[in-house]
Parts: sequence; structure tokens; C-alpha cells
Amino acid sequence: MTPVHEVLAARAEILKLARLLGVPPERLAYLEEVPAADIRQLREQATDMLFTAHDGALGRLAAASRLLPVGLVALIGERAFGPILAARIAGLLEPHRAVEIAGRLPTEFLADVAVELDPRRAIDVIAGIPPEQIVEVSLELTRRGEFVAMGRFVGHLPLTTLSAAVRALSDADVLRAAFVMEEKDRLDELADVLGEERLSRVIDAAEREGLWLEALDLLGHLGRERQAALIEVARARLDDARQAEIAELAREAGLLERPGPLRDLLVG
Amino acid sequence: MRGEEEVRALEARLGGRLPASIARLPAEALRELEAVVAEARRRQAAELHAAGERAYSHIPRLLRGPIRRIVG
Repeated sequence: MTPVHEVLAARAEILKLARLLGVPPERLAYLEEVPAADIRQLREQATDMLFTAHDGALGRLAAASRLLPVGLVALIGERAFGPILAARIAGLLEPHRAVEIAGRLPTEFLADVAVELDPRRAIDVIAGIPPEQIVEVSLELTRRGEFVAMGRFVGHLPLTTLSAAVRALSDADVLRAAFVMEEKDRLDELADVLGEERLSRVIDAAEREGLWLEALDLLGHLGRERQAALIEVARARLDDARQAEIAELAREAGLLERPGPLRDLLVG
Repeated sequence: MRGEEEVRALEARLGGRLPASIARLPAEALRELEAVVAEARRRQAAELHAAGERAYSHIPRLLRGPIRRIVG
């Protein structure tokens, strides 16, 4: 049987691919049995194809935009181009100018662009946007429940910006965003930013809001010491019956297949 | 049924080899995937053209000529 977390990861990937291709996810239902990593590879191929398909025309538009003042480019981006094309062109602009243009655009539009952006092509632009603006866009995305979109670019944020963004999110939203974050090797770094007290509150949010799968996935990506400490936090808060239910959830999700503190502490 | 022809068509469309698990999908699924990818590309071309035309209405008349020369 396919572990639950793999099924969920495949569904998240189908959602991202469907959004990229502009179709409802049901039209890609035949991908549900494909491993998430392969759907991601397919999405990256499709992204590369779409982002380079009209490279010439987009590059000429980016070059022409240098003749116009930043404010007018922002206006044209919002009113004439819209978020999809703005996202395609963002990585072709000079990064410092793209950051200036972003500074003239409303948060709602930037959130629309973030949903369509290929973060790999706009790393310098993302890195240059001031943390407070990233926080506003992140909050707008969480208001919309756009965790999948957030998960795509959150891993590309510089540490200071990532810290500001997670400080602004609720404990439950941290779990939701971390679950779909693409650069999961940065989850331990994220845990450093959160600190032990906030991580304990994140565990409370898992119980309060039914987000144990997300919390177990986060735990599974942390260092052994931190894993053990947080499982102790959880044990102190939950009675035996509830602990057994969560251990069963972890087993069903395929998270206990590998030896380690997660398995020792949940099963042992 | 394996769709080798469909795999080739989708690989040509995407410009690279498909992950093995996707290349093993039924021919019908591969045809549908290729159609969806091709439609996304066509839609993008149409949107780009329309956006270019809309943009000119925001550009001061004096600059429209130089801009058109760059954009082509």
C-alpha cells in the first residue's frame, strides 16, 4: 500500500501541475498513482517549456520596459499583463528593477504573481524584496489558503525573510506551509528560527486543529535531538489512548518504516 | 496499452525524457497530458499577444515607436 504521506505529496504535486497548465486537477487524476517526485519532475519540465516557449518575445518586452519609468511598468504589469505573464517576465528583468517594480504593486497582485512564479528563475528578485513585503504577501496567501503556492517559494527565501514570515504566521499555518514546502532540507533551519517554545505551541496546534500528519512530517525532517524533545512535549500533553492513535497515524503514513527516535518514541 | 508514440510526442513537446513512471502511463493518459500541455502553450501565446496590445494604451505616444522597434 502506498503510504499516506506519499499519496498526499502526489496530490499536492498534481495541484501545482494543474495550476501551471491552467486545468482543473481532476483532468490530471491519472497521475495519482505516480510518485510525487516524478510529478514534480514533469512539472519542472512543463515549467521550463512554458517559461522558455516565448523567451524571445518576453525578453524583448523586458528590454523595452527599461525605457519606461518603474511606476508605469508596474501599472502595465498589473493592468495589461496580469499575474501569469508578470510571473513569466519577472525573472527576465534586472533584479534590482524588478524589486523596485514589486514595491509599487499591491499585495493582492503580488500574491497572484507568487502563485504563478517559478522561484528558481526569480531567486535574486525574491531575495531582494524587503522582508515586510514578503510577510504581507505570505499573510495574503495564507488568508487564501494558498499553502501549496507558498510551499513553492518559501524554501527560496533568505533566512532573515523566512524568519519574519514565520513570525507572522499562526502556529497552524506554519505546519500547513511546512508540509508542502519544497526545500524540506531547510525544515531544520526553520525549526531553529521558530525556537523551542514556538515549536511546543506548534505541537499544541497540531492537536487543536487536527494537523498531526503535518506535524509528524515536520518531525520526520528534524534532527534526532529536537525530534526526541518534541515527542516528549507531545507525550506530556496527550493521554495514552491519544498517543496510541497518533502512533497509528504515523504508521499508516509510512513514517515509522525507518529506525530512529520517531519510531522508538512513538512505538516504544 | 503502452503508448510509445505518445511518449515520443510528449517528450518532443517538453524537450526532454519523461520520468519512467510517467512514460508507463496508458496511451490515452499520455495523449491527454500532451493535449493539456499543448493547450497551455497556445493559451500563453494568445495571452502574450493580447497583453502586448493592451500595454500600448498605457504607454505615452512619444515612446510607442521606440518600444515597438524593440518589441518587434
